[in-house]
Parts: sequence; C-alpha cells; structure tokens
Amino acid sequence: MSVLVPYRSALKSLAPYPPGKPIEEVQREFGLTNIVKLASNENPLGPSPLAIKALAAESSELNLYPESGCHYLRFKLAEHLGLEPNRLIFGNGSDEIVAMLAQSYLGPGDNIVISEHAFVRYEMGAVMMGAETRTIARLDWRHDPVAMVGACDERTRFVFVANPENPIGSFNPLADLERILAGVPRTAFVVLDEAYYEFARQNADYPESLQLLRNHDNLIILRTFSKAYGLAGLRIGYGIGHADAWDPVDRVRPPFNVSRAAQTAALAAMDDSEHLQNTLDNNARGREFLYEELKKLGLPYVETAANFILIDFGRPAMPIYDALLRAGVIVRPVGIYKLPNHLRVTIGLPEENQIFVDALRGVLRN
Amino acid sequence: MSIEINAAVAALEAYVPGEQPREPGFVKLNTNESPYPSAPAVVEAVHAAATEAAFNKYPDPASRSLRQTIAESLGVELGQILAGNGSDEVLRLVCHAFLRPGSGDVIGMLDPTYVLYRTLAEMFGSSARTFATVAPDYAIPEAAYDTPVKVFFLANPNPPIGTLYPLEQIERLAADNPARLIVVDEAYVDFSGVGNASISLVERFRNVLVSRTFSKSYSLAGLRVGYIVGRRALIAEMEKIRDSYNLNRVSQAAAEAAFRATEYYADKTRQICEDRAFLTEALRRRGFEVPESRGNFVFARRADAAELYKSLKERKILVRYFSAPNLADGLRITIGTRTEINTLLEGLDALSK
Ligand SMILES: Cc1ncc(COP(=O)(O)O)c(C=O)c1O
Ligand SMILES: Cc1ncc(COP(=O)(O)O)c(C=O)c1O
Repeated sequence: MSVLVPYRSALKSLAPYPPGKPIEEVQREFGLTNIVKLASNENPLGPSPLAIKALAAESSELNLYPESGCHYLRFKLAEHLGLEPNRLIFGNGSDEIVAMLAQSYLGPGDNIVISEHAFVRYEMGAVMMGAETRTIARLDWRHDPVAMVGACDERTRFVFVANPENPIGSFNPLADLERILAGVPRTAFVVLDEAYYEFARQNADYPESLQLLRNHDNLIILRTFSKAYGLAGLRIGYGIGHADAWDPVDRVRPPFNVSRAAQTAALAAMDDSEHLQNTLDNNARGREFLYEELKKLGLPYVETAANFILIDFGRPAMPIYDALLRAGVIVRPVGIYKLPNHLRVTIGLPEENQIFVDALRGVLRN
Repeated sequence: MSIEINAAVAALEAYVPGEQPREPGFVKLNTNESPYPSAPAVVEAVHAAATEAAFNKYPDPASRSLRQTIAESLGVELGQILAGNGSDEVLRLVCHAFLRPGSGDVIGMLDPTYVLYRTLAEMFGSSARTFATVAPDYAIPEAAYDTPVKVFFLANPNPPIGTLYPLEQIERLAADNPARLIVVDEAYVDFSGVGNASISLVERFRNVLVSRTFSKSYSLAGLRVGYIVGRRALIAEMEKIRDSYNLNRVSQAAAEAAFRATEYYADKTRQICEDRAFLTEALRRRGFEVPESRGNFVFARRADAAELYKSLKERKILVRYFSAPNLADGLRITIGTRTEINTLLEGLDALSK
C-alpha cells in the first residue's frame, strides 16, 4: 500500500531540522544518568524565579483561549522598548516568526540572501515556499555587507542577518548594518535576528539596532525569550518592525499562536532584572574560563558575543562529539552549517563548564 | 512599504476569532471553550512543569511522551500521530504539505463549517469549493462525494450547527476518490458519543486523516494542543515542515495528564451533553429553531438574532454571531455551566419583555 496523494514538490528537498539531542535520549542510549547539555544555547541558570512563580499559579483559566495578539505583553514590551505597540508581533518562538515571514512574502521566483554558515531556519523557510537561497561568503566570520547587498535583485525579499550569528557568535557593528540597509533595495526586508541581543549588548560596539527603525521601514528585528530570559521550553519570541510589515504576517498567523503559559511567564520574566543580570554575569565568567582552557588545549575558537563558543578542531569533529556524548556531555555538531571541523558549546554553569573541559581533555588525550 | 507580498497572502482575509474580553464579569459563550477548569492532575502537571524549572530547556521536539500515550490508547503507531500547537497548526500543516501552489489544487468544505479551512487554503495558493448543507438535516450534498478536490475538510460534528455525519458517509467520501485526502476534524467528537470510530478509517483508507484537539472537551484551549492521526506516509510529509519545537513543555505535560484523566473529563462531557439538551429545549420554548447539535454548542435561529447578539453583549453575555447569509438569523451558543445557561435564559427573557 502506498499513499497516492501528491504533495508539494518543495518538500522533496526538505529534511526536518535536526534539533539538539535531548538529555533523555542520551540517557537511554548510553545508560548515563549525569548528563551535561551544552547543546542548545539555553540559559543554564534556569528560568527566572518570577516566571516560575507566575506559571505555577497559572491554572484557573487554562480552559480559555489565550490572548490572540499577546495584548498585555505587547503593551508592556512596547513601553519597555519605547515603541508603538503595533510595531510588535509575537510567535511560538521566533522560529515561528521566520516561518510566517516566509509564508507572507516568499513564492517561487523570489529569493533570500544569507551568509554562509547562517542559522538554518532562514533557508528552510525559503525552501518551504519554493524560493531560492543565495549564500554569500563571510569576511573573517562576519557578514560581508557589500557582497550581501550585491547579491540582491528585484526579487529579493529578505536579507537575513543574524547578529550575533548562530553558530558563530560573531557580530557586525553599526556601520555594517547601515551599509546593508542603505544598499538593499526597498523591495526587500533586512531581518536582523537578535536572538542573543541581551548577551551581545554587553559589548560596547554592539549596535543598538532600534534606532535604525526610524529611517528604515524595511528593517525587521527578531528577538526571543528563549535565551537570556530562560524560556526556551515555553516557546515565545517577538519581531519588531513597521506596522505595515506585520499586516500580511498577522493574516497568516494562527489566531492563538502563543500559549497562556508562555505569555504569563514572559510577562513575569521581563520584571526579573536580577535574574537577567545573574545570567549575563555567569555567561561572561564562563566565557573567560572557557577561553583560557581552550587556549591551554591549543584549540582555536571564535570570539563570541553570545552564550556559546564555536571551537575549531582542525579535523572532522564528529568523533569528538561522539566521544563527548559517551562521557555524558552533549554539545552541538555543526556539520549542517557546513562546519564539519567545528563544535558549538553553550556556556554553562561553572561546574558544567569544568565537566566539559575535563571531558574534552580526556577525549583529546585518547 | 514597497515590499511585494505573496499574492495568496495579499488577497487573504485573516480568520477572526471570537472576542476575548479583558474586563471581568462576562458570561462567555462565544468560543466553544469548556466552562470547566482543568482536572486536578492537569493543574498538578502544570505546577510540576513550572516548579521543576526546566522550562529554560527546549521542549522534546517530538512530543514523544504525549504522542505515545495517545497512540497506545487509540491503538495506532507513534509515527501515525503528529502533535501541534492547537489543531489549527495541524490543519495548517495539511494545507502546507498537500496543496501544491500554482497547480489548481482546490479544497472542498461544507457550508457552513469552520471557516479557517478556507483561510488556510487561500494562504497556500488554493481556493475552496463549498457544498451547501441546509435544514432540516444538513446532509452532505451528493455532489460532494465525487468532487475532484485535493483535500476535503469535514468537521464532524460540524460547527456552527453541530451536525454529526455517520461513519458510512465518511467512508463514501474516502472511497469514492482515493487521490483525494479526507480530513475529518473531530474537534468536538467527545460530545457526539461516537467515540473513536473514525480511527478505524485511518487503518482502512490510505487517504484519511483525523484531527483532534484538547481545546474543547479537555478544557485546555489556553495551552494549545491538537493532534492528527493518519497513515505514516502522510504524517511523515507533514513532519518535514513542522516547526521542530512547536509544542511547549507545559502544554506537552498538561495534555498528557489530561488525556489520562479520563473519568474527570467524561464526567464534565456528560454534564455538557445534559445541559445541551436542557438549553436546546429551553431555546425552542422561546421561539428559536434549534437543530440537533452533537457539539458543545447549539445554533439557535430566530429572526431577531442580530439585535439579540448586541443586546446580550450589553448585558455582558457573549455569544457568537456570524453575518454570512445562511447564518445571519442565528446565534452560536457554547454550552456553559448550568448557571451561565440560566443567566443567558434570564437575559433572553428580560429582552423579550
Ligand atoms: C539566531 C537564532 N535565531 C532564532 C533562534 C530560535 O529562537 P526561538 O527559541 O525563539 O525559536 C535561535 C535559537 O537557537 C537562534 O540561534
Ligand atoms: C472545527 C474546529 N476545528 C478546530 C478548531 C481549533 O481548535 P484548536 O484550539 O485546537 O486550534 C476549532 C475551534 O473552534 C473548531 O471549531
């Protein structure tokens, strides 16, 4: 028996996104109990205690549909950012916003421009909608503004600029963003994916992109509660842009795309500046520790503005990944990003970083 | 803005959900939610998910534990179930996976029915062919059986009327044209008394998908969980385009707990069905024409429906009004608690004085 129903031809070339290996799976496979997961750039301090409290109290209205447009969160965030509420859109993770943007603006014949090794979601969105992806070489791990602009034509709808980029950790300064915005045709959006914004802005030269919205109606900024705010498990991210940009997106948006749990927790997490500060401090300390240890091991890495580090092993990294798994440490292979000799490690708690370094040292010795 | 929109989206009218009032004090009978709270086990599961404090971690991308629980209970394999962020998402995945842009693919749907099907079809470059159903029995028109559409969406029971179509008719829809996908949307099946009968169709026909939701009988609309059951090959295509982390941790845990709390929900469902009979009778006595409904709502026709909708709203009673010509003389009323129903009836009586 086979299914006769034909499906979209675009799917033929589409493989599902391979997410980081869940802890439970590694426990099952290798019979391990103590697992350190440094694979998905999550917050090692856990969620904000205020979010935990708010969520634990959320039970009386689960039977009712959530706010369709995240009303309360929208107004709170708009005030926090100093923006009009209609400049915001919310998604079931910022992943969903990328997918909705693709659905709204892409079709066969259109194209998107990305840098090599870019976060995979952008190309997946293009493939899903039958659009072309143009991949531009990087300059010293950063986006090449001139080449990105040069790759655009009248059918370009998006130039995706993750800043910092995942899985690299590098970022481009304000002048580069201005160059991209000045050069890209008005018929294309520049999407600045700032998933790691809260970490990155600890760098003095990290661009404060909101100021660019004033002069660029075709700028979209994506951020998420998954990283510094520690809510990856609840799925909530947001986009900032011109209200007109969201008009079609709102039409394809599922009417109740963000759950009550996510809205409740995000509202509470926004108030927890102490947890955010602890998160940033832990990340800065862990980064310096790992830099030191990697230097001792003679392993080159890319300077990071985010909560992960891209490490260069100078040889195929999968055997090292596998050996780390067996030692109970999950990191992220980045072969799908065309970086077969690298691994990406999330900066964890001090003890997790230490376990990782010890395991790595053991693996490299053998 | 000078950026060209995908043509299908430019022409799209967004689905307009029922109002969610922010002021307190409304009797809310407009979005077919359950009036009952979650089972204690579900509240515990949410509490546990919160206090375990693991929600800084991405959820299980496969929703494995939840799907396993459902699969075992339905007697199907894990790979035959896809879980989504509400059944809205799984219906969307059907359209995205199976409607081929530019190839003239069309969906079929009854009229009236859940209007989201049309929105989804148009979103993916298709259009909808509708088959009108009419009083008194709202039967599936003969023409629907062999229409050459790509996907036929049949809500069963079918809102906003609540008609339940017998299994034989779905079999006929499925058998008459095996290259046509039949999606049986069973959002309200638990109120219909037919149990899991449709799941057998998935075994017998390779072109049938059955979707369900936790938003209605499981009192979990706020957490957005739905699922779809079908042949592995069909589910696998939809899996390719599913967002890998589509279902959050709390929702996965709560839905699983809800699915296991069989007795609690069976009891609430029994109550809702009893109250549906009570409300149907009470409305008929007040001059409404009320077709038999097998959902958690009734559709009540009376000439003054449009004005009633407004006057009820002024009294802080929300029901759903649709302005489409074949529905404009009616109100869709969700079965609330007995207290809410009595408030509604008192409101109606006060207004007719
Ligand atoms: C650059 C980038 N954008 C977006 C995301 C996804 O975030 P969310 O959890 O909000 O979907 C990630 C997560 O890894 C990321 O690295
Ligand atoms: C027939 C039908 N299908 C699906 C849904 C949506 O359900 P969910 O909350 O799972 O997205 C509804 C909700 O009103 C419905 O009436």
